[in-house]
Amino acid sequence: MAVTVTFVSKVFSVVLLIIVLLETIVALRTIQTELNPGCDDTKEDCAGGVAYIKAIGDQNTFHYILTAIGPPTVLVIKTEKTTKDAGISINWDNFKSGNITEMENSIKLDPSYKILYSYGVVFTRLFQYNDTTDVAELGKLNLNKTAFRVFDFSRSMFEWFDLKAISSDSAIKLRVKNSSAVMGQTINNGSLEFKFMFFDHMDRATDLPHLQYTEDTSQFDFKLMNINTGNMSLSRFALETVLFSTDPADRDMKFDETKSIDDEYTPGVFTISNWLTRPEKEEQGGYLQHKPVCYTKAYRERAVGTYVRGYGLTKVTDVQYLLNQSAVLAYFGSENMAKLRISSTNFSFGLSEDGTFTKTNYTVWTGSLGYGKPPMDAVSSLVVVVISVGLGIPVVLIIFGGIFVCLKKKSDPLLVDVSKNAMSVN
Amino acid sequence: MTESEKKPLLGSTDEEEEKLTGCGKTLCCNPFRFLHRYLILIIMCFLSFGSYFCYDNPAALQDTMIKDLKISESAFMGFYSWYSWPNVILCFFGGFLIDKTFGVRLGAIIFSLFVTAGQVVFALGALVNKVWLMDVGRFIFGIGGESLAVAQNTYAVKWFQGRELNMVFGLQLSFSRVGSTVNMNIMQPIYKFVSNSGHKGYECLGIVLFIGGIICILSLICALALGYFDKRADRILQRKQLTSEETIRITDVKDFPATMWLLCIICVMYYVASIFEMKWDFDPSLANNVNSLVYIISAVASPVFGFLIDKTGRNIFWVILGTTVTIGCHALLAFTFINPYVAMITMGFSYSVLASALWPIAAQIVPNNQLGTAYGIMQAIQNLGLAVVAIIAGAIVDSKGYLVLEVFFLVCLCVALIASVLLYLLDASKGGKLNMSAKLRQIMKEEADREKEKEEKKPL
Repeated sequence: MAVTVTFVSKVFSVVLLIIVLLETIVALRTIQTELNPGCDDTKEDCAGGVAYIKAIGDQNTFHYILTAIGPPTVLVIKTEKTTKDAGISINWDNFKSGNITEMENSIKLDPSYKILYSYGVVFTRLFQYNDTTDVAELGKLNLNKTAFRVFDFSRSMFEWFDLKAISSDSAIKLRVKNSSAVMGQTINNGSLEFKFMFFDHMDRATDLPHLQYTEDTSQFDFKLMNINTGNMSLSRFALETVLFSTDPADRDMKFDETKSIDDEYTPGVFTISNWLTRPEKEEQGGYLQHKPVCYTKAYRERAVGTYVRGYGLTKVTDVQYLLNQSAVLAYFGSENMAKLRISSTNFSFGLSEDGTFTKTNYTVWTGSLGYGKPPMDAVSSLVVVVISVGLGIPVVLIIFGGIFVCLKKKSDPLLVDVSKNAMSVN
Repeated sequence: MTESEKKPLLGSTDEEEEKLTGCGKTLCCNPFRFLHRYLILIIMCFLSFGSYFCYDNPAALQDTMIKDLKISESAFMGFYSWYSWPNVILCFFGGFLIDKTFGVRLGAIIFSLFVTAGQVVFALGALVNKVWLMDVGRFIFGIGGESLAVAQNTYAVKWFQGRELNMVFGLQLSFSRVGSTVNMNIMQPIYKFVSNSGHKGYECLGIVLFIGGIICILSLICALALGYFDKRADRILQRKQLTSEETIRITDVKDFPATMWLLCIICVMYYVASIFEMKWDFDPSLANNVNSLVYIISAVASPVFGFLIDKTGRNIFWVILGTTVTIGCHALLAFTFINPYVAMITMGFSYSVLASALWPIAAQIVPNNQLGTAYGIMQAIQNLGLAVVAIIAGAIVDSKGYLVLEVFFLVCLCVALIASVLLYLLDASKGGKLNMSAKLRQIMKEEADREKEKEEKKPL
């Protein structure tokens, strides 16, 4: 019986495999990338640069505007589809000026598009602290005794490489060139990098944590490496992140954590977090999705994974000056920016007893920024087969074995409990 | 324990031929008396204490070792591979040699010597900062360590069969746990103490490991003492000497009954499922607490369960119970979010039940003159299983996660359960000797004694 079940399961898994192989990847959107539109690198300085990605679908189009001019920002605009080949226009001088009034409306989307929704993310600050007590949690630090650095991603403090030189059509990189020193330490020469990837189909990332992506999402890696942490020999980092959307500001965003027993895609991680811009109607809102794990070596594996801690959402107040330098202001203008729904949180990297950032001097964290209902992991058919075959056969054996024994016991006197025999001897 | 302490378990002192005088007559030293047996039990427990203590020296000093010797994680793990892989085969021969050539007394002494020598070489390697020499040390240590455990089991059966054997096995498990726990807690302070006294780096490490070696010497002394007392008891109790025809041949192994092999299957399939350390969704304090909790529970609970099993008999039912409960615990861990403490604590108990009930069964299956070999085989197969499964489990968890790993363990446990049910059936068809209740065993024994008496009287 066991043999037949194994055989059936084998056939089943082969069929599954064939189905998977036959399932060709269907492109659901057309991706068009423009780097530094309207800025000629050969003649002028495009600073950190701007990437403009258009993901054109049958129903609608997503416009992604990425820039490291000002704090690193991704702005996503959802529009109806138009037949025209129009895009964005940038007044580079005004955008680069950093002056609020000059910057206003220096980035414009072609008016032929009917805008449906906009949202996006701004990375505002990087915190560094010397975790001498190894708590790895921002709220538990004794701020009087902990050496603490704050790096503002402000225009005056950070200089970024021109993204055009280091990016490809499908992977946009925002890479730090240099920073001014905070307590004697700089972040320079590519030690900090954001990488954004765009997709025309639905699949799962090849790298851990194997997050699922769709044609409506982009995935990002945030990477820190080769930082001379100097006298902070137990350095840990945290990234302040701001999410905004064109929803009414009187309601709040939501940070959801979902637990699952299934960690097949991300071994050792049983949680997935979704930061929703529009919890009242999540299928028509944006989200930032991540699993609370980052990897401390370039070769990602479970053993080098450590924790990413999220903190409660707060309304943005103390980084307004950074938003005022960002592409958000350049696109919306200050009046409309004030109407946006905005909230922020910190993501801190590391966990007690993991040796801190300094141990490997490398951390990479992956998330995705998307629109609609966030993809949720489902137990894969492989695991279902493994569970049902692996546990089914023994359970069936035990049940039938049990019945067999009971029947046999009745008919075969040899199997009658020996104690009765022996007692009768006495 | 209290009940059995009240009455001398071996009542028929009239067979005594050698007159015991002086101290030898007292409760403590008279091999006929229970207290003497318990004193021997203490020595027996300390026999392998040294090897359990030193086995985990590297784990206790992991960070310092990696730093002082400037080695990689994998080179560090080598200290464990050099111990475990050779023992996939070696402890079978260890057990066989106990039966064939050495006898349990000489065997225990020789293997204790290996343990001590291995630790000394290991420490020496650290002292001169030669990792290959340390590997050699671990290899020698391994030759001794596992075979010493076999000798310990053989001793236990020799002294306690038909009495408190299950409890003794439980107590031995508990001592192995105590040994590694003490090591885990004491080695770092010793290291700090030595390094404060001016020795640094690998030199300090070497000295600390030499200090660990002292415990091995303690165990060696136990082996010598045990040898002396065992010989004395053989003489006084007039235990049967083996004739040359009775000694085991290597070919006897193939004639081991099927029940013995089922026992091996249960042993390996059950133990492989208990090796892993779960990483609780990034909560290191939880992981540490839970794992040490399981250790402490099994240390305390196994002698208690052993005692219970002694009182009730029916070892196979206990094995089935232990396996079933463990399956339930793993299912809880795999498929629910119930606090892992619940499952892990229960697992600590079921593990104790199994360890106390399983090993004594072998003594019922295999004649005493082949017991060393039988335990050697069980231990060897267990080592093989653990070594192989450690690799498989690592590969599974890295590629498919803990859920699939748990399912894998559940499958292993189901195989163990099936094997134990088969063991029960096979045994029942042969008269149910293994699963006899303690009461019935007593009755059968008395019956047998009476028969014997009758037969002895007949010729007169």
